[in-house]
Amino acid sequence: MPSLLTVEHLIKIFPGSAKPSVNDISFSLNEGEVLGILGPNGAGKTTTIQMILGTLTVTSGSISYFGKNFSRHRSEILKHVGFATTYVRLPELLTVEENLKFFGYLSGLSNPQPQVNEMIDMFNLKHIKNEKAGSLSTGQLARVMLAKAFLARPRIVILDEPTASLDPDISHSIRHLIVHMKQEYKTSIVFTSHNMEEVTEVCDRVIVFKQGQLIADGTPAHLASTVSKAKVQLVITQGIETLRSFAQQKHLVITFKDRFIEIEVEESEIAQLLTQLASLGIHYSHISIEKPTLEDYFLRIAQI
Amino acid sequence: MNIYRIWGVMFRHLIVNFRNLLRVTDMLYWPFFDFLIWGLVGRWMQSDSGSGSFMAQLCIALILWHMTMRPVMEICFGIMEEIWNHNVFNVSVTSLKLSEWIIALVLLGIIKASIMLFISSLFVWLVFGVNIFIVGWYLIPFFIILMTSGCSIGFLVISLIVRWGKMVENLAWTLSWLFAPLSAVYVPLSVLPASVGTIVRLLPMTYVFETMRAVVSGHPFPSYYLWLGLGLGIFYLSLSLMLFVFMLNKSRARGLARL
Repeated sequence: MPSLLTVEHLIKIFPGSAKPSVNDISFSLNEGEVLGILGPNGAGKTTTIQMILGTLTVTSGSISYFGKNFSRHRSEILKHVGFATTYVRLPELLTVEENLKFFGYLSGLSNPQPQVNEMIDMFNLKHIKNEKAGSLSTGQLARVMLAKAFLARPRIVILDEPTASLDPDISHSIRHLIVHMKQEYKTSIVFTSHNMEEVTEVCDRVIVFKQGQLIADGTPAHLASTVSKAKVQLVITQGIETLRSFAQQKHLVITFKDRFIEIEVEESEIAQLLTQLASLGIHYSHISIEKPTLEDYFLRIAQI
Repeated sequence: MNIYRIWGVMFRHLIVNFRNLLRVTDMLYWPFFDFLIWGLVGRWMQSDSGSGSFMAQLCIALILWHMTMRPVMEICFGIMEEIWNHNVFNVSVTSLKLSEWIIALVLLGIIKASIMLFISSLFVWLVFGVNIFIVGWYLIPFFIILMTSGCSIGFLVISLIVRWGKMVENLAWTLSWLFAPLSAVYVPLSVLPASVGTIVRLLPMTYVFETMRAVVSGHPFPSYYLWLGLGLGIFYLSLSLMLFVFMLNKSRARGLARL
C-alpha cells in the first residue's frame, strides 16, 4: 500500500528544554488505513500531532504527505487533510451551518454549501444547524468537529481524542461515524485516544510512544499478545488431580480455586489444550476464554 | 492565492460584526461618543476664540483618526476573536495561507474605514455643519497613508499578542492609543513638546494631520509631506508585517495550541 504520510526521524526540543519531547520518531500512514497513536501522558503524542499539522515547528526530521515535503507545500497539502479534536472550540457566534461554510471556504471550496448539506445529513446535525456553536453540548460539538474534518473530502483525517470526555453512548455513535466515513470515502485516519477499547475497534494498526520514542508498531491484537497470554477458565467436574499432574508436567501457568481453574496459554494452543484435557478424561461444566487486550499491553508498558 | 479562503475569513468576521455587541460598540458607539464630546468642545472653543476653521480641523482630525483605528481594530479583533474562541488551532490547520489571512483582515479594515468615513462625515455635517470634503482630493492620499499606518499599528499590536498570548492583551490596546498624542491628531506639531518632536516626525500620520490642518485653514504646506507620510507608512507596514511573521514563527516553536 502506498504511504500517504511519512514521518522520518522527527525530533522536537522545546525552547528552554534540554530533553527532547519527541525523539527520533519515524512512521507512515498507508492508504485507507486507520493508524492509532497510543502512549501514556507525556509520551509525545500531542506534540507529534501538532508537528504533523504544522502548528508546532520541528527541531529536525521531515514530514511529507503524498510524497511532498510538508514545510514546502503546506497549504496545498492541508487542502487534503482534515482535523478534529474536542480540545479546541469553534467560533461561538456562528451557527453550525455557518461554521461549516467558514471552514469549507478556508479549505478553498468555491461553494461549500452542497458539502455542508451532505455533512449535516451524514452527522445528523439538521436539528441544530441554526444553533450557535457556543450553545452546543460537548457531544454535539464533537459531531460538528467531525463534520468539519470530513467536509472537504480530505484524503487524510487526523482525529486527536475525538471522543474525550463524552458519554459512552455518544462515544459509540462517534466511533460508528468514523468507521462509516472511512468505509464510505476510503479516508486514511490518524487516531489518538486514551480509550483502548475504542482504539481496538477503530484502528487497523497502532504505534506506541513512550517518553518521546516510538516503542512498538503493530495491530492491536498483535501488541496485546506480546504482553499477555489468553486465559482459559474452567469449572472442573472430574479429574482435578489428573489436571494438577498434567499442568506440572507441561509447566503450565495455572491457578486453582476449588474446582475453578485458570490456565494461561497462547491463543493458538487453546484448541490443542482442550483436546488433551478431553483425552485425559478431565471433564468441565463451564468454559470461558479471556483474550489479551490492548489495555493489558498499555498497562504493562506504562509500568515499565 | 485563493479568493475563496480570503472570503471565508471575511464571511466569518462580517457575521460576527453584527452579532457581537463589543464589535458594534467599537464601530459605532465610541467613535460617535468622541465626535459628540469633541465636537461640542470644539464649538465652544471656536465661539470663544473666533478661529473660523478650528471646528472643521478638529472634526476632520477626529474622523481621520477613527478611520486609522479601523484597520488596527479589524486586524487585532480578527486574530483575537480566534484566540478568545480557542479557534486559532482550527484555522491554522486549514489550507489558509498567512498572506490570505492578512489580506482578508486588511480588506475588512479598509471596508470598515470607508463605511466609518461615510457615516461619520454625514454625522459631523448634520450635527456640526462640518464638511470633510473641503479637503478635496487630498482625502485619497490621506486615506492611503492612514490605512498603511493603521495596518502597521495593527500588526505591531497583534505581533505582541501572538508571541506572548492573552497576558499582554491590555498592554497591546494601550500601545495602539499611544499613537494618538504622538501623531499630532488633536494639536499641531508646533504645539507639541520639543522632546517628542523627533518621534512625532517619524510617524506617517503626523504628515496627514499637518497637511489636513494646512488645507482646511488655507495655509501653505511642504509638498513633500504626503510623499514622506506615504514612504514612512509603507516602510512601517513592511516592518510590522515582518515582525508579525517573525513572532508567529516564534510562537509556532512553542506551539499555536497554547493561543
